[in-house]
Amino acid sequence: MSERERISERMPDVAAGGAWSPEEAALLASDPDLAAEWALVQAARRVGDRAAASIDGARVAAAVLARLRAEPSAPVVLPLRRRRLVSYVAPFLAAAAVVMIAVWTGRPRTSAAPAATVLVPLPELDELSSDELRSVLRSLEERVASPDGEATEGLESPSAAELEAALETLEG
Amino acid sequence: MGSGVSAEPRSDAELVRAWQGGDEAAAAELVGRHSTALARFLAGLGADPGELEDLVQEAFFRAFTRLASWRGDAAFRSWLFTIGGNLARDHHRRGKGRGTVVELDERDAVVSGDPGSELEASDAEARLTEGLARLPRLQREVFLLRAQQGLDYEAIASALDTTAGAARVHYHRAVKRLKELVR
Repeated sequence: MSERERISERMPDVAAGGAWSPEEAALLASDPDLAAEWALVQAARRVGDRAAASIDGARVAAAVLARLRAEPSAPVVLPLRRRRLVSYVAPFLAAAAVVMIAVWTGRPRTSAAPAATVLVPLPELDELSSDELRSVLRSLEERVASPDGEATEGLESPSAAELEAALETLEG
Repeated sequence: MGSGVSAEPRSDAELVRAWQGGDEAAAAELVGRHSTALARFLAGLGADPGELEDLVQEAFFRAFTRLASWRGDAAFRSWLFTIGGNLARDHHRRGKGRGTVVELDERDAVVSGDPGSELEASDAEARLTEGLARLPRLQREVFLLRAQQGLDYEAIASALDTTAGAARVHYHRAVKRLKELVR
């Protein structure tokens, strides 16, 4: 790195409260391009100062806390990776649950409404291996069927617990 | 804590943990510590001054409700800038950005000390603000995080989900372009 580049790299730190050495200051004074860059960085330190001066931190804090208190309940906090997985898996879990209901209830397939939901395209399924798919369906199967073979309710919107259980099987 | 002599100020991570344990004062301290820096950053991105406080409030609200996604190894402020940057982007996409037109008259109002040099500084700042609006988003954000906020490239990379090397390249491209625009 040349001396010129080094000075360029140091500019934000010096603008934040550092100091130039006499040699650096001399180079800055003799190099118009470097001096223009230094003026730019100094101006950048001031950008937004005026607008930010009107911000009252205490008022913002009070408003934020009031909103947080007004939240009906603390958000369900899942680690990032798991949340991504949930959002990814949830749609086909819900659709798979519908399929399972149709199979388990054993309703006659009339021509009126032949389980159109089964035909929902699920491109996400292509991403899963056979084993993963089997695991997901197995975990749903355990939860779908009650002891007498009837489907449980609310399967179109799997509960957090159901999703968690299904995710356990995916994550090993 | 209970002693009369206050110890070193609590770190951001300690304040976050305290807030998660129900300490509202810790949350208020975090807001007080970072709200001005966040507001300056958002203003630099082109946020309307009249909406700045709402944006800052929204950014903190989102931060506190999404603390699970904060990697404790990254600085809280960098992470807050990530949220603020996303917020500003969404806001701008919805057409609420002000287009970064800076009225010189407005800037003249605060002149103090040497009027000549103050006016010159204000003029440079106004031209820089206009120049910033013409930069690609990533260059603008990197430039502000480095030159305005003083973050190092690692912290910028963490805030913008890129690499330190890429952040450095974006910074120098921004500087080059701004020198042309501001001249």
